[in-house]
Amino acid sequence: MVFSRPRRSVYNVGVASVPADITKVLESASRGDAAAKSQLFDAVYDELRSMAAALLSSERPDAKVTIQPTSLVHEAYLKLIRNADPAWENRAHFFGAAARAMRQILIDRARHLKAIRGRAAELDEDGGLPTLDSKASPGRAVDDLLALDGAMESLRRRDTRQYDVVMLRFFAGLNVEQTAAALGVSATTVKNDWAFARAWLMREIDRAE
Amino acid sequence: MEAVARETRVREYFERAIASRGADRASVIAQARAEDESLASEVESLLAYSDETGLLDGGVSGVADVIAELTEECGKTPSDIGQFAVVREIGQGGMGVVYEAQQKFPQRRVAVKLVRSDVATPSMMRRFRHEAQALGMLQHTAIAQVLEAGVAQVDGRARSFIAMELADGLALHKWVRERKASPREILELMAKVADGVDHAHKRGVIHRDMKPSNVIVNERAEPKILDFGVARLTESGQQTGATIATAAGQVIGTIGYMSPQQLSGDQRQIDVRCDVYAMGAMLYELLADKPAIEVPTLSLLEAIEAIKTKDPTPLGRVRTELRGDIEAIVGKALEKSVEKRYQTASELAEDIRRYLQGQPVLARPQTAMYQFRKFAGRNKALVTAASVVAATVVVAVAGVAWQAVLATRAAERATQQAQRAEQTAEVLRRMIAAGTPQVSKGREFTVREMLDASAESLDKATDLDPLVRASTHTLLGDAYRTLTKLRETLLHKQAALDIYVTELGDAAPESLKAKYAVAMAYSNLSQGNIAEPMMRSGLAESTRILGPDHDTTIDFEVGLGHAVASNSVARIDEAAKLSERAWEHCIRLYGREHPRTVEALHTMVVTVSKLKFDRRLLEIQRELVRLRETVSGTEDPRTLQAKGNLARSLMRLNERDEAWSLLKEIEEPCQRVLGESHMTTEFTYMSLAEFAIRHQDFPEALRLATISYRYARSQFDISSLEYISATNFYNDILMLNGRYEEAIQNAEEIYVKLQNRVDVSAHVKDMTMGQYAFALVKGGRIEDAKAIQQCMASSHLREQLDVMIQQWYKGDDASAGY
Repeated sequence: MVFSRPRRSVYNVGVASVPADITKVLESASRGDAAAKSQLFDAVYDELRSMAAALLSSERPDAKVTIQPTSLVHEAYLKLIRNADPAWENRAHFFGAAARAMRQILIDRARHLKAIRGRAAELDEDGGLPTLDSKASPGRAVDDLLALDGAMESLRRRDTRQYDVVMLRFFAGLNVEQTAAALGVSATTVKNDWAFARAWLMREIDRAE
Repeated sequence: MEAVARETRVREYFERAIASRGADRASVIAQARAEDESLASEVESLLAYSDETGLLDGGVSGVADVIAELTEECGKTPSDIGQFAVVREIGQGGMGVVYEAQQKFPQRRVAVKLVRSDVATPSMMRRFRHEAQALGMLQHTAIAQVLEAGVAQVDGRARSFIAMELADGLALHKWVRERKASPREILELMAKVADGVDHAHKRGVIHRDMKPSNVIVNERAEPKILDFGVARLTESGQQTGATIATAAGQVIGTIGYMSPQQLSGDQRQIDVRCDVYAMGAMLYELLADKPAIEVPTLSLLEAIEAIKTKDPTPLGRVRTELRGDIEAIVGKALEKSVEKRYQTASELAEDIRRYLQGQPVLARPQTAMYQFRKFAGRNKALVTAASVVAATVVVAVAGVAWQAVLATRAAERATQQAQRAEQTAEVLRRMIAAGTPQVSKGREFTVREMLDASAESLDKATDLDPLVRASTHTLLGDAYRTLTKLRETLLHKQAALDIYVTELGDAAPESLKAKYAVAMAYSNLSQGNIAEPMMRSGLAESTRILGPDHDTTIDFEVGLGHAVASNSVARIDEAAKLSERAWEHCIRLYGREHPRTVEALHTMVVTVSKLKFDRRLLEIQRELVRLRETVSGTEDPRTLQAKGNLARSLMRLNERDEAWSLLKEIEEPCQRVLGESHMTTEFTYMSLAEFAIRHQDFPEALRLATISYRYARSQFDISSLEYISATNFYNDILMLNGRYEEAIQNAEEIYVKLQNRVDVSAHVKDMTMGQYAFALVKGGRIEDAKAIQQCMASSHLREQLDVMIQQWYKGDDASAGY
């Protein structure tokens, strides 16, 4: 697994609302406690967002290179879990929350950017000030990401297990074995689900354009 | 059901095809086609995508690209500012970023300036809105209309913004260059600019930052002035203008178009004639194609000096066709003395139009004066050096008792001292010129940076006269003290003392004076054990050599009380008596309201209020506040300090309402004038944090306490009372916020570091040990706390800890019971 830790420490930035006892929250969440689930999500979300913000606002040229959701999620994991060592199924729950949080953050950012660029493009057509081409239309990656978000919702309705596999592998950065352990299925199942879901999602993204 | 079954079939064929290659894969597809044509094409289509790479590949690195792309823009550009939808960034300036935005109603494009400062207190916001209203009243074709100003939530923070009419066209200097404008066209245009400026002046608004880039000219040669009054609006002060002598730590802007009056840092000197000067500078630059006074290549100090003393090359000598009236008009607008300048923008506009119409101009007779002033200028050599020192200090000390320093200096051996002062000034000037790469690069830097750069180049300068070096150190020490950078103050004062003792012997007046400064620096750093003996020996020597009523002797007398208090908290009564005696001595010698007497009173208040407070002290403090306000003004750092101290005493005597309103009154000026890293600000925030705790607003308390904690950590030794008490206070608030582990770590750090220090008293060691144990108990680490308890020498502490532990268990039982 890729584990490129940012050279710049992110431990000191951002004050997330860390639940007093994360292991308890994880346990309750894995028992299906809705309040605990949302508390967990909030904590992970705050953490990821503040870490991402810290990196984004960094003046260092290498900061962008080191922004890997995988490393962000793992930073968040280390920070929130601290010394506690939760059981695997609880850990899986953490990564589930992290995947959702990461997706939320990415989509929010993509929408934000698209909104700004869209307005600029619209005005330019109306004869506004000229702008650089690269900035006039949203980048492909942004469109792809937004299309992926929509496709993920269709996938969830079609096949929740495939959906979970993509969430954990793509948004939380888990590898095949970790994803299998987290979902309680075999590695082969994860591989097959991933291959199919990936092709299906890529087609959906393509069709959205 | 049908769909689900089909889905399963698609999946089956897909997996089989993936697992096979080439001919095998083809046969799988053929099998599917035999079953159902559409099933086969579905599988084929998916297989095609499975061979492609895209967003989902490389684990998550595809997402990393997305983030990288998003970072560029989103990180910086907000989506909305109030009712304005941001379109793009169109510029960056000293005051903030400017965006092009779309207004929803009425539909139009506007420019929105987001003010950089993110400090927004309610009183600031009120003032901001109020002044923006005044700007909204300016309606003139040559002025970009202010449409709205206010405070909006941007990225979760309250930020001030100003929305303005979006001006189309080119910045004035670019317009002149692209259009290859003739002198006549430039003059016609500037007359229109002057009309706009006059319109604003008649409504009480001064621009304060007129420059070519603030004027946009459209294709029909119509100018629009941007940012009218914005310089003042965005500066958070009621009495501060666009001066360069801004508060410590603030950015200093471009100065090429500022008049000597604006550069003086004296608010009262800024009036409409500053804008007239700026227009003169603009005219000169546009006509001559070079600045009136070459600023960008010089350091800030040289620029100030140049603007104050140097005359620009007469326009006619740069371009002969400008000789005569145009030279006279521009010269009159650029007059250094306000009396000789055009008195209003309309006078300038009218004179330009007179010239354009071939009538005699008013400026013409002034040329004789111009010559005369140049003659006088040749005799100004001596004044020059002194004005540089003054400028340094205006910048560095931002309004602190420089006059007192000058007065003292003048009283000493005149000629010799004056020469040395001049040399010192020259040295400072050179150092600052050499040590400020930031100036030329971005033309912005802070007072602190300037000082640090000066200090650094002083170390490097090898060919200095030792006494000049010493007095430069003294100046730098004063400047650092103003910024309450205590360690740096000590460093420079000590360096000065060392030189004086080597060069002049330790009985010289200079040495004694420097010795006092060093002793006081130690005392301020809470190192009374060093300060007190120095004050005592210094007082004896000074009395013997200089006499009992000499200023330096009085300094020692005043400082002794302070040093005693900082040496031992137990000797506060002794310290109080010493301070009071010194103050009374000052009253007899100089009178009650003399700056030195006020200084002595201040020292007494600081000394006594450290540990003791009663009604009498309160009255003395009120007296001090009154004197400070009268002598130095409401926003002087010393006035703010006196008020902060008074508020502390009021809190201790339970006069909370008065304390609260006093703190709220100084909160904003502290932040603005002194910055966060200043002792008075720290003190004020600590007091406000106490109120926040009282109001149960723990996050706010933590925010405030963090600022004061940071300052204490950066300034004081870990063994000092200031450091320890600031940490304890901060820790308490951390724990109120449920952040026990951090509090424990902080307490542990002090405890561990102090245990092995021989210079730390047992009392202090016990105290820090106690704090550590208490934090452990509060954090629920009872076993660890008990282990610490075993090491405690003080039985009193051990008992206290027992009580705490029992309470903790009780609290725990109680919560379990609920």
